[in-house]
Amino acid sequence: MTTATLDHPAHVPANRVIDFDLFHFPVDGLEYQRSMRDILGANPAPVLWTPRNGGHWIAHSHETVAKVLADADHFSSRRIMVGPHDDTRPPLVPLQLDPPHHAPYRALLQQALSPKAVGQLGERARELSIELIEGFVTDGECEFIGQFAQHLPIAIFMEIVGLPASDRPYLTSIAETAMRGETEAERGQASGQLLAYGMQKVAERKASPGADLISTIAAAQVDGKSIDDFTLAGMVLLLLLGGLDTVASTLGFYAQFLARNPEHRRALVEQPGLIPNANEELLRRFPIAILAREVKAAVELGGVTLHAGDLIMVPTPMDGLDERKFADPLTVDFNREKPGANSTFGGGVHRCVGSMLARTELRIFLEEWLKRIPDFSIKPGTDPKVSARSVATITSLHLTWPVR
Amino acid sequence: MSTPGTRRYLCFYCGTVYDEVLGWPDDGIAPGTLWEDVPEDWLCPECAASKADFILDED
Repeated sequence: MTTATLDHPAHVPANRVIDFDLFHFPVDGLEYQRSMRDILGANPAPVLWTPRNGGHWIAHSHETVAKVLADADHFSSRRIMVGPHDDTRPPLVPLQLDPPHHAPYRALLQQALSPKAVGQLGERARELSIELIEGFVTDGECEFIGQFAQHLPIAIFMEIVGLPASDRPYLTSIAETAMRGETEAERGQASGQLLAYGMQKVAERKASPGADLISTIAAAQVDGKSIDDFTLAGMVLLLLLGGLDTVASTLGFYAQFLARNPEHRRALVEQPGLIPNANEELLRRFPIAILAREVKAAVELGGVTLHAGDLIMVPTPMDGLDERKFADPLTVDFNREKPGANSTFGGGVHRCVGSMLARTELRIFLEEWLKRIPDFSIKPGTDPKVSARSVATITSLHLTWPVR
Repeated sequence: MSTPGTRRYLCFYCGTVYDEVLGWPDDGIAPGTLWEDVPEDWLCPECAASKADFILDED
């Protein structure tokens, strides 16, 4: 489709218009990030506009991605995803609150996810990781997403919030539908189920507090007052969506890359000292989050003027995969200098509060998996696919390896 | 440890440690530089988080 046939508002220059549908763009195999980069790369401008999904801007360079995320004065996180917005649902708190209102709620989460707290959780993650791998290593195969990726981070998260492990299958299933269900109605219904589950737990913890994060939130005071139920609902929903989905999704991209690249695998097996930097490099190469912000007041960005009320999509891969910031950005180079300076975890006041925990879990996966399963590949005859809306994931990934 | 001159600060997001004894010579911050004398616009060398995102390591 040429730009001439695409409708656009008067304040959008025609040369910035591109036909890009976040929810239906063609993905080449498992190369979600590269496919998005290739399609958007048809127009090199740093800010683009697409008429799809209600019409929105697209930050298309490392500079514009970082600038939007850092500038909460002009870019509100009231809307954080492309697509319909429902004001009657509780906002995900603190993510959908602008400064300064987000700060006291964010502080509650920061206590639970501080580097010190994560250090203790990391030891538990290592034990669990070993237990999971040892459970299937002699089988010579596994379905990685269901047997590992949805276990490790989610079990750790369940411990933080004090939820029973027996609820994991139910929660991962409705979180998946809430994020990537086929229709808006399905996604809305699943979000409602997650919310109902979360609020039931809040009520239980109010009646019988424990040492977990939901109890902490339920008992917390902000500005001298207890947090109201509508806000609590938003906090719990954010915890459930953030904790259940994101690290599991990232693990899938890590595993598919290593399964298809034996030289990279061997490098980590032979030189485990590379793993911390490799972890940062894989995070740079395989971001999963496609964020958005609402323009609060007219602002100049990348040579165009955005108007109040406009929506701008902020694809985090457009930072780490920008060749003006990282040379040869599609190549995974475990010796790359400072790959971690990217927007994979967002940026500004809403930078992912769980990123230290995520980094720790991902690093432990690399360390413990490669010690036990140094050679593995995608099982022939299987056809893994990426499922994507605002967070991309691989829905199933069958791996196979020689049994030693 | 929280005696000025020997304090350590952790990046909240990636765990990188700024040690006052060591400074950060690659970024022009000499060994012995107190945390309060580290420039406010200094960023985490590993993940580019801001100076304000570092927290005192009290162990």
